[in-house]
Amino acid sequence: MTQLRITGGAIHDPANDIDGDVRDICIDNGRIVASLPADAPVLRADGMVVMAGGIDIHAHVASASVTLGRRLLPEEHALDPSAAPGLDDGTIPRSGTGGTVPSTFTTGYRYAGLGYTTVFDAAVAPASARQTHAEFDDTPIIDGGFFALLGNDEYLHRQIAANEIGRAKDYAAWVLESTGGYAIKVVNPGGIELWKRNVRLVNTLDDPVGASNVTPRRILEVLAGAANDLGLPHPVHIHCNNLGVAGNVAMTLESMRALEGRRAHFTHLQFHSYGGERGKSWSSAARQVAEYVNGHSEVSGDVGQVMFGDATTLTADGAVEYLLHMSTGRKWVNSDIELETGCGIVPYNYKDKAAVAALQWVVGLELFLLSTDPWRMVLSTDHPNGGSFMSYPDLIRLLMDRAYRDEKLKSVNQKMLAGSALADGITREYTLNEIAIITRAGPARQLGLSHKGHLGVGADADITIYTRDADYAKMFSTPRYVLKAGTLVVEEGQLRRAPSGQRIFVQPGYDDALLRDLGKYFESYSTIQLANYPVTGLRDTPVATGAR
Amino acid sequence: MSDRITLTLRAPLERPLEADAIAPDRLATLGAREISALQLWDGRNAIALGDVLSVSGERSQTVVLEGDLTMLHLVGSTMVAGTLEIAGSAGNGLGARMSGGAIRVQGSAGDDAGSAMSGGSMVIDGDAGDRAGGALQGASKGMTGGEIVVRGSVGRDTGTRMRRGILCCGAAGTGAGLGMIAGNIIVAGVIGEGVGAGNKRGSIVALGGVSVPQTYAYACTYRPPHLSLMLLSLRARYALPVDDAHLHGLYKRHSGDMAEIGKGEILEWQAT
Amino acid sequence: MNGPARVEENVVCLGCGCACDDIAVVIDGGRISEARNACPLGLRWFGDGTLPGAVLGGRSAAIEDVVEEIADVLHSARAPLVYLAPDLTSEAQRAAVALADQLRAFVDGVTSATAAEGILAAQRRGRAGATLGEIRNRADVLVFWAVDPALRYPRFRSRYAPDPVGVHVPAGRAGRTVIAVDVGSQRGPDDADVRIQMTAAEETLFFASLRGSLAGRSLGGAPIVARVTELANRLTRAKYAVIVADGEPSPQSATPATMRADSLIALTQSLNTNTRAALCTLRAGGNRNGMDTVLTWQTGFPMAVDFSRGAPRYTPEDAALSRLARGSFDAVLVVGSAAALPDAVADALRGVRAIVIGPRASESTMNASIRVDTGVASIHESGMAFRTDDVPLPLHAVLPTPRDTASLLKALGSAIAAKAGAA
Repeated sequence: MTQLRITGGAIHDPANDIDGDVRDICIDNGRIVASLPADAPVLRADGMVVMAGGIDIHAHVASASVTLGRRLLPEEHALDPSAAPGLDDGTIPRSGTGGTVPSTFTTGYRYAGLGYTTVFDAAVAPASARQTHAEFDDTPIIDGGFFALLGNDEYLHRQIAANEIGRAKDYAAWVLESTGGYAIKVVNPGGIELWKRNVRLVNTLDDPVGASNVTPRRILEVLAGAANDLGLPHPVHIHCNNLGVAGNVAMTLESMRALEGRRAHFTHLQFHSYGGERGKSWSSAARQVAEYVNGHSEVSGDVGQVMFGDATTLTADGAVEYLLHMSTGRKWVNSDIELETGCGIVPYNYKDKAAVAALQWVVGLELFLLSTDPWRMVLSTDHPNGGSFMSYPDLIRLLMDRAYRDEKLKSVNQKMLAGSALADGITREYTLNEIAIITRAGPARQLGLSHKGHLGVGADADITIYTRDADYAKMFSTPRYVLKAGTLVVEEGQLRRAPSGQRIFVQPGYDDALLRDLGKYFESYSTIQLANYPVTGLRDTPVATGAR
Repeated sequence: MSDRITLTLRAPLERPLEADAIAPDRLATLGAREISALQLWDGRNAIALGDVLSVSGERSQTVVLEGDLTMLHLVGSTMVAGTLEIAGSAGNGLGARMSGGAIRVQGSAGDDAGSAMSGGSMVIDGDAGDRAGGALQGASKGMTGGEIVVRGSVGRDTGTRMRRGILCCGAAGTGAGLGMIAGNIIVAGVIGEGVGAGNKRGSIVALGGVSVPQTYAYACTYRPPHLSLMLLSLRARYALPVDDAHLHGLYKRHSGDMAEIGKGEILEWQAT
Repeated sequence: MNGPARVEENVVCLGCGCACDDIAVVIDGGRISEARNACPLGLRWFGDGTLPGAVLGGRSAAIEDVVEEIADVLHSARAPLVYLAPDLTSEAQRAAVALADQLRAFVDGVTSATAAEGILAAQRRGRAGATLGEIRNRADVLVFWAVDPALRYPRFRSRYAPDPVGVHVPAGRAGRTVIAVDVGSQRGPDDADVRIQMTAAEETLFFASLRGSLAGRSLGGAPIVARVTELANRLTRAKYAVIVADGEPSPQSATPATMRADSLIALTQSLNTNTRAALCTLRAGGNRNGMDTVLTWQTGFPMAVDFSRGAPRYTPEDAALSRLARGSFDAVLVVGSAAALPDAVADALRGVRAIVIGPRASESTMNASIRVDTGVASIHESGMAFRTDDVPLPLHAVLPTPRDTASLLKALGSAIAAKAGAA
């Protein structure tokens, strides 16, 4: 189907200032166009809600670490078999398993079934990037990209130690180019390297990481600078130090201030917005973080909402996972990776009757509800860390339906909620356009994807059409139609087609002089030949970088 | 509505079939024709239940199976209520992941009987195969509730990672009660090697002698008061061959597994 | 085809799980005349690179016809098995798993026959591990538990540890303490700095005593406690301790594989309470880790996957070997190097009529009805393979393949889809 006119639907396209107007959307050859011949095929969407396809700015779906998680969870998979869908586009449908970390094909089908058409994997070890590409190849429908882990990389730290900031930037560019990555990711800057040295907590942004001038602060500055100098479409994507620790808001705000005036994205802020004191007390510090973000237009964030139920904590931040393993007694994977990064995994269950889980749930909702600019505080659960992406519809209902939210709030453990903004009462309800912002338009803007997240002429024809329902969880969990690049993948609520998605990556370019020095480093310390490091043969076109 | 549904094997099975459709709670609302139309699985092919089993009765929570059912697997798996009586021997995966109801087998059962069971009861007059009352691969907990009584012997790896519940058997193969977290395993006769390895908590009661693993430490010899109550109750409910000497006798308590937290126990009955 | 001699650099050797990627292969006259840097095991694995290119057993020798014929056999089977042998690219493994899914077959490979216990233990407990680069650059204490890598993983020590210098081990071998744990006849390296010996019968108690001592509990008699104390002290004083074990222990081992696999994981995890520690599990060659990894991302399970009911089910307790022994399958497709199958698997497969697609399939002694020669991953076929630590490496073929395995399997998938559609 190359041409299609969607008629009668209420268009929610905040990027183009359209808020529920009934208009036609014309599609030709996978893109949105201004008009079509009068006899073009029509899809009637009368009474329905039309949005761009959803964009997940931060999830863990396609990487060596995710597959370590999959391998760890046969008992979850055994309880959630997923039969191959009945497709009628000639592709051979695939079965799989679900749970909190579904198999690749099931991941693609389920995201598309929710109306999501673009997903970024937020943490890929550069050495295993080729596996991420292979997994994305086996994740149908969705367009995929990933962020390359750089904050604990030995070679990068050496450049910072030697004050070779230009070479650090070239190295970051080389890593993105070699891996086919999209953005620079920093997880617990310096803290993963310290964990490998048996130092388990970063006390300040100025703690030395080996060399005295390599500190979390410098790592953040250098990588934020690199991303901005390279003109990457997405700024540095930061998972702050001390995730999940009481009182970590001080570190989070200090990290933000360290980069004041520079573009930066702070991820799963819920996990970094706790007051109180380590080992003593917990409280919500969402208001402080939201206020900072509200007042600084160069900063964006995603929430990393916790949803009650099963989750799998899966992160490059290995030290956190050790603590979680010890506190829960659950099984634990740690993998230290090639002087680059790490990985820790522990299955987890957020119980609404547990005090900390209830606090986390509240902190996340407060970040949503206290942020004045939804464009810069977008939706995520840090899937599968705070909960599965399958819980997004319920999260949307919590944001849109105050009565539902307040009722739920009453049922959770109240021990740590005293004084929290949500407990004091927040009346705000998200509008449909605000939901469109935090689930597609906002992520697209933060990611610098000009052709996604909106329904204007020239945009990719990734479109989701919902049947209105007073129960927003139901409305958003079962879209009536989903189009991906103009192909109807969901029809009458059923998955019907599963085209391959595209890869979203950058090729920012670097000074070849880097390779001489890097070659020496590889010869001295690497277990992989430099020539074998880069991923080759990427199809699709890179997203442009440069002056913004 | 009948007082029972009887499913009778039409002809001896040549190949294994999967029959997870057969569970009393799922049959309770169905008429005979609907029951006959349920699917059984022969490898990757579905076949109608009625082609394999004749159906008499309908809409009952009591289901009786007749014939040599050793190649009929997964009967009663995930059942939540009702009564399943097997007038013969059952195949593998009998009552796997069941959460309620009662299964009674006049003959023996295959492997994985009551695997990952969370409630209900299963009584097997004959023997059971390997991994009775076992765990899903990778699951931290095996059986989390319910009771399994096997009057004959069980194979290897019985009651792995049991979290709650009771499992009684006449004799047990190697690796009984691996990695128990809690719960009780009671063996009337012989127990194989490797009993209780990796246990955190839980009780293994050996009425017929046991070779205590090296990783258990002798604690004391005493009359465990809770044990006589439990044995009395089991004797009353399941007619177990427990005699007064077991109820009132002395037991050696061995603590283990010392490689783990060592809070489990093997209670070894002392014949006088 | 046979131009002048050329050298292909940075070729990956899949002779064992070390997957050394620094091999310089010299091609002369269409053959491999040299494989520089390769160990003896690697040299054997590369051979001269020549392969038969036959298609045997079909009614016609035309590959298109044979694909149709194989599709017929598999499509009409009641209970097919797809069995993954070594030497496949991960692209071929992906295509093979796809085929199994499409056929609702049982899919398995050598992992379940040789290395299942370590994987199952890791599914119960998780695992504290590290990639080989981290071990090279950080490990100051290395324990070789009942394994001498010189035997089956020859370049492990020179490429990864203990020999090379590392960022945090600038003195290389001299900066590391190597501890050999000898269990009965399974010995650690000869040149270890420290030897700890035990009989096979002692191993269970030794583990329990060692783990107990780390948790502050004493267990076992004086002779064991003395050895346990020495090892525990060295491990807890390490900055970064690595325990190396064989992920494919010989079936003759006296120790139950489950116990050792489980204990090694629990031991390494608990060492991380006070210091840092990682377990390194050595796997054999031919991209075995790739099979587990591909199966895991596609199905959620690393081996022994039953698609018969339309979605993956995991049956490692009843894997391909025991199913073959019961005669469960009426059609078997073996993909990969049949000659590299473990004896037990080769014997079990001999009892069924099989179709073999793989390198030297035409020379296979199996009871195969149809045999199609393809190439060896990395030598003749490009793609990706996984090292023993699950790090993926690129494969760049140095010689032409008789026919590309992944493409052939995809063609087979299309042929089967056409039959399913027509039915």
